[in-house]
Amino acid sequence: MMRCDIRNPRAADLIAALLPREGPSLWSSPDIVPVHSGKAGLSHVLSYLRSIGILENKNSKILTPPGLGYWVYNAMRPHGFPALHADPEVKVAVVYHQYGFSQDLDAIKDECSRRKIVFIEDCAHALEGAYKGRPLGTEGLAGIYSLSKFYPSQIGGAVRAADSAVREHVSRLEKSGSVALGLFSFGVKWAATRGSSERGDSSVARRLNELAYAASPYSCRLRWSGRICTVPNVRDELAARRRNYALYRRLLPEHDELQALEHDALPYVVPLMHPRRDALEKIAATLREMALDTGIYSFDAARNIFNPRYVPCVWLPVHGGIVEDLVERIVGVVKKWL
Amino acid sequence: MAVIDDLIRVFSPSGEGQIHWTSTARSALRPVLLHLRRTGALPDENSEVLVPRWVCTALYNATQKICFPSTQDTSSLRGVFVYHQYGFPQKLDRIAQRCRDRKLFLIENCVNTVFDGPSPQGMGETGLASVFSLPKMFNTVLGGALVARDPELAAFCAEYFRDDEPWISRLSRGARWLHDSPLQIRSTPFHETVYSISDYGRGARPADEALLRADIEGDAVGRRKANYLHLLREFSDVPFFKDLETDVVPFAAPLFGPEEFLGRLAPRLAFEGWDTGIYRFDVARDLFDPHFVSCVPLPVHQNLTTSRMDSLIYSVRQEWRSFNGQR
Repeated sequence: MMRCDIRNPRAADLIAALLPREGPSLWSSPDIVPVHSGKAGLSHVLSYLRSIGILENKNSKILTPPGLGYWVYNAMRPHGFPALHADPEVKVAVVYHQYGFSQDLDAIKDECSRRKIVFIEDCAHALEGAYKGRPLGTEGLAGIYSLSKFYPSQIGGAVRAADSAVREHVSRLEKSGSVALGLFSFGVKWAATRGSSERGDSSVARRLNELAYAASPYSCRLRWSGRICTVPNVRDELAARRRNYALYRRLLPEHDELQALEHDALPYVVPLMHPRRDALEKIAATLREMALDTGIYSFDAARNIFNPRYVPCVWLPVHGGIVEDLVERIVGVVKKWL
Repeated sequence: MAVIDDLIRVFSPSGEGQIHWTSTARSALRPVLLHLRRTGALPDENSEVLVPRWVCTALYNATQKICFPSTQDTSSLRGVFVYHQYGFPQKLDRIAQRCRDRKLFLIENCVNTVFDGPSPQGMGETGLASVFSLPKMFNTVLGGALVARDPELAAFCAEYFRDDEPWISRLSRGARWLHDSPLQIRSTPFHETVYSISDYGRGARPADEALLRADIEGDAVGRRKANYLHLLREFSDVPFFKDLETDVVPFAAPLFGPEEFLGRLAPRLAFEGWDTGIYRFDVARDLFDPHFVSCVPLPVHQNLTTSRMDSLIYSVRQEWRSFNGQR
């Protein structure tokens, strides 16, 4: 069977997701409200916080990590002001479990309690992670998930909240979302993906993608996004990720930073950290020559948004489109330069 | 006379720097920030730039694509984006000195600014660049202007504006037309989506040239100024406009007063069809150390005839009498 690739979705998989099918539904928990996208979920939860006065006005500060896509900050802006520093004006913190690796939630909860800050968990990269045995997305006021980071749905997200008032607010906004913009957002993302893969990353494709991001918070949920995980071709995507992550750990036993990461995480990508930036740059350049989507990024090694410590890392891809021998070739590149 | 001469007259009275007619104010700001990224003044997208509170979403979004807007003065600041609110100058001497001391770049947000003579207090002529918006001050559909004073920036902009993605400006224009036309299609989701990429549209479209020319030939700037001065004269007995300069051509005149009065005035004017509300004005005129107080901005634009202005003045006066009578 052909393995799925989240960056190059097949129309057949999306159509199959529309068909009724027996099987586990990812969003069957009563705490979960499916939404158009992670950005829409974040926007709806912040809208709730504005509606109850936690965010008093557009200048109320929202503590965020650096380095998110600008469209994430733009989704926050109608409700508050994204800030990189935890000053006394911060009312809300968006705690980002980067690449699926949990933040230090005990320390963060203490800090939030002391400062009277509400925190939201950004689980866009943490579909199934845990912190000390507790599922990510269940410790803060709400957890925000992004399906398209893990499945070839292009869109789809969810808000998880124990508080029914949050769920009702999110659900109301989701239901009032525009069908036209939802379809438009999906359509241009699909077209942009095809354009990007077949004709290079043209400026039109990039602009269309940006339009889709901007439309996202105003869009309604599309049904197939929640059911894509039940399609046979893509059902094993998460298992493939786990296998790939385990394989990296097995093939790089001498890499201390990698071995120090949680072994049971379900990563979006594996952050390969190393003090030698020049070596990381060579690894990234070689992987890009292999047509892999990677680069040098900053990873919060302290896992604490209130007191972060960013270190450089290279993304090692783990998604289902990465087969085992490709993992071995990637590891070969890592070993060559480190 | 070329339209660029018109732009120089109203946006760059000293004639210093290189002026570009752009698709929007956002598209005027973009090359400035790109240049600063290119030169390392903004090392990455997390480099912080001080912006005023209440900064408009559109400019915020355009800025966020390239660097990180912040309302907090921190040691990690790389530059400032000074907003001359409603066309009233910030304390540029003090701000520019602070920027020099801390090696911060200074960009001027002049979207509410137009000139009828020499620039008051160096407004629009102090930073390395100034960004203007045509539809805020004239009857154009779209359009912005960039005055680049830094020679390296000017060279970069000259190159940058040679290229264009005209479909983006057309899309923004279409959305704007739907918004302002008799159809009045005003959908926040639709417009926010379209405007999210308007900063990529570079050049202005010729359709706005005729509109701008008609406005300038019809003395739009002079009429705006006359309306503003008319307001100041009519209310010289009341401290509504205390400390406002008379040598500016403002976007609107911020009316100050007791909160309770403003709370009554704003809904009355809105009910009568005036486009206003309660807003915050930085009376300290200092981005680094602002002091925001409530105000009701009164329109003074060129399309308001003397009788319309008198009608506005009558409403304000009547509400003020009523407010004082009940106290």
